[in-house]
Amino acid sequence: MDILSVKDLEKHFGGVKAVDGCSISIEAGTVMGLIGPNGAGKTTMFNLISGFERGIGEIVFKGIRTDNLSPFKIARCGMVRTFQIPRALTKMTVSENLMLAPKTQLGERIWDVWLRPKRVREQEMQIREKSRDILEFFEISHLEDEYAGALSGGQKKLLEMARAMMIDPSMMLLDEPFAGVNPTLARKISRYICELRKDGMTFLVIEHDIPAITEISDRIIVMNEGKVMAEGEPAEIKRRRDVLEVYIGGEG
Amino acid sequence: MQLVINGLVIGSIIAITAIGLSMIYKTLNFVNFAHGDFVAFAAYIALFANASLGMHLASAFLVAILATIVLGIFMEKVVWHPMRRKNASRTTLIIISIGLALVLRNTLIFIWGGSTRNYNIPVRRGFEFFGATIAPNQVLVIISAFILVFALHCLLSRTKIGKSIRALSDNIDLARISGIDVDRVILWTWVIGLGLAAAGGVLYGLVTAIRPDMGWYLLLPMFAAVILGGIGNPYGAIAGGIVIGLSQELSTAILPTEYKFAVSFVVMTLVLLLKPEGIFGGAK
Amino acid sequence: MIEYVDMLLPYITTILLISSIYAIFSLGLNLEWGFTGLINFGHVAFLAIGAYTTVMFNMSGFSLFVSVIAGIVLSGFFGLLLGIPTLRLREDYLAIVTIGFSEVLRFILLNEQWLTRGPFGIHGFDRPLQDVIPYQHYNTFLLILYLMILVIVYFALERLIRSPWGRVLKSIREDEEVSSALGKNVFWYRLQSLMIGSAIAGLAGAMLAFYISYIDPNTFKPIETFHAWIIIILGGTASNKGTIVGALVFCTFLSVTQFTNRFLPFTAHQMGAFRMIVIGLLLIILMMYKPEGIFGKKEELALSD
Repeated sequence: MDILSVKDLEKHFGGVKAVDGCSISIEAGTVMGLIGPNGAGKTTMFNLISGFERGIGEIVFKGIRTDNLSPFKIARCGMVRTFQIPRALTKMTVSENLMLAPKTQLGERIWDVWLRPKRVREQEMQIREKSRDILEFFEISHLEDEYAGALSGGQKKLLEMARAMMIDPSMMLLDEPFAGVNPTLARKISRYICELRKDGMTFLVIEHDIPAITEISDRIIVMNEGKVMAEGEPAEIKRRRDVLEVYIGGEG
Repeated sequence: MQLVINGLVIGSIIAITAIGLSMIYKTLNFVNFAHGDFVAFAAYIALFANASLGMHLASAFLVAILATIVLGIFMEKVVWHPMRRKNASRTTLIIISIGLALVLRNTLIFIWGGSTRNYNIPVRRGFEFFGATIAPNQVLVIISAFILVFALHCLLSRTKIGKSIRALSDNIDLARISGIDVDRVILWTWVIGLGLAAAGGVLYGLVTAIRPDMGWYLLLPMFAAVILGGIGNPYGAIAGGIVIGLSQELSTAILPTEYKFAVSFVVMTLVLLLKPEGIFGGAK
Repeated sequence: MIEYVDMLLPYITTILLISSIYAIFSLGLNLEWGFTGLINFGHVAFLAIGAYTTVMFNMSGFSLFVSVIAGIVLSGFFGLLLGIPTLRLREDYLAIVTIGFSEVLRFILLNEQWLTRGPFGIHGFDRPLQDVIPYQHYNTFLLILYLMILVIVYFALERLIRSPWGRVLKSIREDEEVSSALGKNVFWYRLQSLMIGSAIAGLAGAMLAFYISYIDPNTFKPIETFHAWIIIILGGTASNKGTIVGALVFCTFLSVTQFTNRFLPFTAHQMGAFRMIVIGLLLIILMMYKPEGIFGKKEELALSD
């Protein structure tokens, strides 16, 4: 069952075709890796799929056409994304960051703040419980009341993933989760991704760290100059000479 | 026809003053809400030089421009540059410029009081032109505006500093990397921008009464001209100024005169909503 | 000794009255700027709408209670009208457009004399409980009433800010893309903030009208918006407590300097101008060196990007 299918996606910036006719299908409950040299269009793909950019083409997520929806609506459908440079809400505590995330919080509607305070309080307690569980899962419970601005880079990455989890998404788009992360943390992140996948989560992951991505992915897409250059299982991709060339030629 | 003449006159003034606002907006990346009060400041300096010190208006003109530029450089060194170094946000700079506007305007009130003044120049009769009366001062304004615009054009296209300013406007990081001394170019942007604003101010004093809030009333039309012409595009600002000036004056044919500024407001809002890069498109 | 107290009491009452009105006016702006990050330079427009609506409803025969509600609701409604086309604009464009809006509104108030009596202003409207309270105690009564309203507004706002709704607002203030990525409808929250802030300003407008017993368009010049800005910056953006303190400090400063021109060689007009120069300088210095104000928290400051 395909949870996401993208057909003939295109995005132009001035004269440059950042994404030039890409089609991708991702099966539910799998990890899809997205690799390619810098400037290949990977982040633009992400932005198009999650609604932060508008382009031409068709995007269908869980059976709904999303190519014309605003990003917050796409997020509400169950797709969440992280950012290449972690964007923690630094003026809020870790706990507040997490408790912000869940959907359909009664307390976020003004009427309910006044008219149903008891229900709002109950929900807040439930959300706090959940945030504590997730903090434990990511092993950062001790940071609960720290301002997110005080966290290290690696901790902010975990915060972003934890926050994304609070939405109960069906699909997570991770933008370079292993970048700049020490090997211990990288192993942890791989483990989290695998565990979540076992529970049915779908992932689309951009990465430059080839060993890490080939280890966790079920399938890999290689992009180059805005087009899908190759697609297949990690073992196949690793063997293809044209992929190697693109990387050696492109990155040196 | 009279309205057209009036429109051209006020439009030229808006045009010249708007250029400075536009350039500063693009290069320094914030809206200088005090720009109007710099315009007024120049008019008052010229008034002082002319009426109190007895200078000929032409010399007063130069004195005013010089004084305004000095003030601008002072602000750049003392306020804007340190704030840029601290990476202050656009909002912070805007609020500071509001404070500056308050200080400038009230200093003018403090020294010269709130009543209206005029330059000490001989009054000359206007002449007929296609059924309208043009005052010689109005002609002076339009001609001066032309000359200033032409001078600006030469400056921007032929001189090294002009080219640097354009490069900076286009892409500040690229300019920095290609070895352009950003701080120096910014200084020159202030000099040119405020110089033009000052010139506009003195000319403005030729055709209207000089009051402390004359600058504030010019601010909204200036914004409209800048946005219409595209932020950072001096030629756009000129065109925008003329268009706004004309439409303001022509609108009095159908609307009560007090709603002149509503015209700028409506034009500006429409442009922002429909085509924020402006009709002539600078960058956003 | 008793004579001093006698002289001082009405004076202090006046300062407190004006402070409470300014406090409520500024609390509305604090919600918009301090908690949501909206640059609204046209806030005075809603003070005017609240005042004029309340007064005109009353002059048309409606009870005071209905008139005040009308003032609040209409102000909020105009906030909605202003917000729908403009809240998508970048912050500096929003600043320009909002200032234009408040000035155009003032021109309309000045010129549509059939509606607002233009520059002649309106007077002769009812004031709360005016038939019950004897004249010499009226200001004291008004002060007690206004302080109660201030307390209610303050606690209501605090409740809102600490709620999940307020949390969303804080996230939008800092990084609207992250908020969006988490499924929050950023535009709608901004709109709500503007509407509520405007409604609160409308309430302040009604309060102002009852205090002065007379309104005209010149009461609602852009400078009032900037008074509110100074108050919230002084007291610490995003701190409601600080805003109230800021209002008190500001109004005391304004009142006290009415008398200082005895010590300084200025005329009354010059004193007024001098006051504004000090305020302008204060604004510049605050923004340069202590943008978090007296009560603000540096970590919460969303001003350096």
